[in-house]
Amino acid sequence: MNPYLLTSVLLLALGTVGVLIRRNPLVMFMSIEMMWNSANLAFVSFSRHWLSQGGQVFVFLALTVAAAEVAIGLGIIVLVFRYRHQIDADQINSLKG
Amino acid sequence: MNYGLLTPVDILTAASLLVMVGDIFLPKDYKPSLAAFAAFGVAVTLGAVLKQFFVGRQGSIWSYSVGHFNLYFQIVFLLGTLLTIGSSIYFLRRGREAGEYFSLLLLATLGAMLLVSSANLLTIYVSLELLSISSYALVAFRRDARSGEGALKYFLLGGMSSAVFLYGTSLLYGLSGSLDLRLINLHYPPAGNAHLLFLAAMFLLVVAFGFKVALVPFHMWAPDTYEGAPTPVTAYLSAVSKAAAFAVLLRVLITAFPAAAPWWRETFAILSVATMTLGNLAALRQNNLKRMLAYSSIAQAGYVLIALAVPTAATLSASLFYLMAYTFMNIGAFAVLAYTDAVTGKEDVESVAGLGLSLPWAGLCLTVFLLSLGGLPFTAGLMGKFFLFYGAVAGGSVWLAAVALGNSVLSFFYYFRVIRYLYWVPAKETHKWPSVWPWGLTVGTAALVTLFLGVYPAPLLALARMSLPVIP
Amino acid sequence: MFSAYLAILVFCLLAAALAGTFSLVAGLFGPRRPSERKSEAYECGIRHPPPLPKHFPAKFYLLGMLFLLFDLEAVSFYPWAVDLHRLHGFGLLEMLSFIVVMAVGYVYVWRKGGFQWQ
Repeated sequence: MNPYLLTSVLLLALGTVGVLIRRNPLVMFMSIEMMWNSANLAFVSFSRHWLSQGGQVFVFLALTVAAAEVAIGLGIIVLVFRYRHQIDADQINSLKG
Repeated sequence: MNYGLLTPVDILTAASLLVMVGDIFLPKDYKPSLAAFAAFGVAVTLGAVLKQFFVGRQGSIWSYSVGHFNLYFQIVFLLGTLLTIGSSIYFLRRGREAGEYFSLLLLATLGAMLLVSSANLLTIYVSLELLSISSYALVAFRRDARSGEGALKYFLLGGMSSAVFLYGTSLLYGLSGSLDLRLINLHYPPAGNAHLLFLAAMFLLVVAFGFKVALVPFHMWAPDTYEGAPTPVTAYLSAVSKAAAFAVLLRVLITAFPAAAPWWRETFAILSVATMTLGNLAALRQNNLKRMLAYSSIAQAGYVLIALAVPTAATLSASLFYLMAYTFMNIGAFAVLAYTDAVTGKEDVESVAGLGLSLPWAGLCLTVFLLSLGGLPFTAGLMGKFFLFYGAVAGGSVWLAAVALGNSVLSFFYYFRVIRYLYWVPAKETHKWPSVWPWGLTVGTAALVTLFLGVYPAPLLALARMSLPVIP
Repeated sequence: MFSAYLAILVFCLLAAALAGTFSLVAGLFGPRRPSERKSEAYECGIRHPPPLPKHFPAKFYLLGMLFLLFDLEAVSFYPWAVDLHRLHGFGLLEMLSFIVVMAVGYVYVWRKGGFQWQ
């Protein structure tokens, strides 16, 4: 198996575990970013494999979209922080799950 | 190249940008008129889409395809957006934030329109994110703790689902060397072990869209987000956003994975049963009306999934019919709540107590919506359910139809509880109900359409039959 | 065989000429107010870099975000530039509409006060 793909799978697994076990929204968000980037890595290596540009273009767009998502996400985290003065996903429970 | 195919999305893009520009350059007193402008922009877009549907040229331009299937869903989204705008007016009565709110709403609708017309996973991804990112901002729009919490949950789980989507897409790209749905289909089934990877990638996409539709194992965000969001936004998410995700799920499965149908049919039969049962059971326990309708909308998605569990022409056209009807009845019900929330400041079931007497028309409309959601005669809901369940039986899945029927009966309990409060439980305190004509128009129209579709469903059903997703 | 590099040479000359013109024009017409601080070795205008605060103020995220957004959007130009010769006039039109959308966003942020430091 291609080492790049192996790295990408590892990153995906690490990101997933991070989202599931960490409780700080910022860290959870970082883990999500890691999952996105694992997909980006896979895209680039597949793009190399097929010698086509599609995957690389996808990565470009995925990066810009991710930036937009970060902007909104941090805005939301700041909003929540302003009201609760704590950022721990377990404490954010005034809406019962 | 037929650039004219892009006219509707061009109009909507221009409208959303103009609303933004209006927001920064109009003096404060004129900002509430942006709602009218947004509604006008959506109406013009709707006109352009209707023209394409009935008389205009269809076809595709690069990865944007315009066929009856795409246009049908675009009509659903635009009608849903119009109803949402109508029900937002009282919520935004200060009006100063109208520009931001309506441009986000229009951008979300633009995302939904592009999503259902994309034939390429790249455009699907970008338009899905346009829809999602605008929705995150809309959910947080009340800017209080609950709204922020709902948005945070939606955002974190949505981010995870888009990561899942990205990874599935990258696997598909790796296996087939293409991002085009039609070309991916040509690579299926691949030889040997690649078959399993292909299926894995397909299921990753199903999970990602399942988050958006709020199917049961992936629905955790929905009740909290729906409760925290401003009520008109809840209406929008539970109807338009959900329909968009369902449409793209349908399109991806039928265009890219028709040969894998035996695999996904079984999955969706299980998901459908789980979704409707859990949604209904959870709705029974709710005292908060918004949360109850949130669970009810999860359950409703379970009924629509029958079309994917038994994908025949009958069930697919029934699901298209049901989604249109559902847009009217669900947004209608939430529109009434948006008004009572804003007036009484409460969201529990007591907030509508005595509404049938103090505000007879609104009470009557809410009754119509709830009866339709439950599926009683002379309502669009019954017709949609009848077509769906009948299609399931005709498609050989009697047990699925039976479970769905049982669930419908179960759902009567909580819908009737609200109706009991409307007419037979006196209000604890009296409120002054201001008259808001755009809201009244919205709710009245939604109720009339719900009744009309219940009495005379044939024309819409014929349109839905015309709009089936094409199996290439 | 070096003809392929001629374009690069022309590019370098053009870049040098442009930069030279700018410095020359600034030197000729710019106001001249030398001070002790200005004639020091240039270190981004700060004499002694102050110690970095452990936490950035939360407000900073807005500016950081806006920078990141507008910075990253520029990446969309690369695939467009690579395929420009095949996209012809329509490609130009597409990019023009992209820039218009970006500009509306930029003006929006500006007028809403997103670039205010305080």
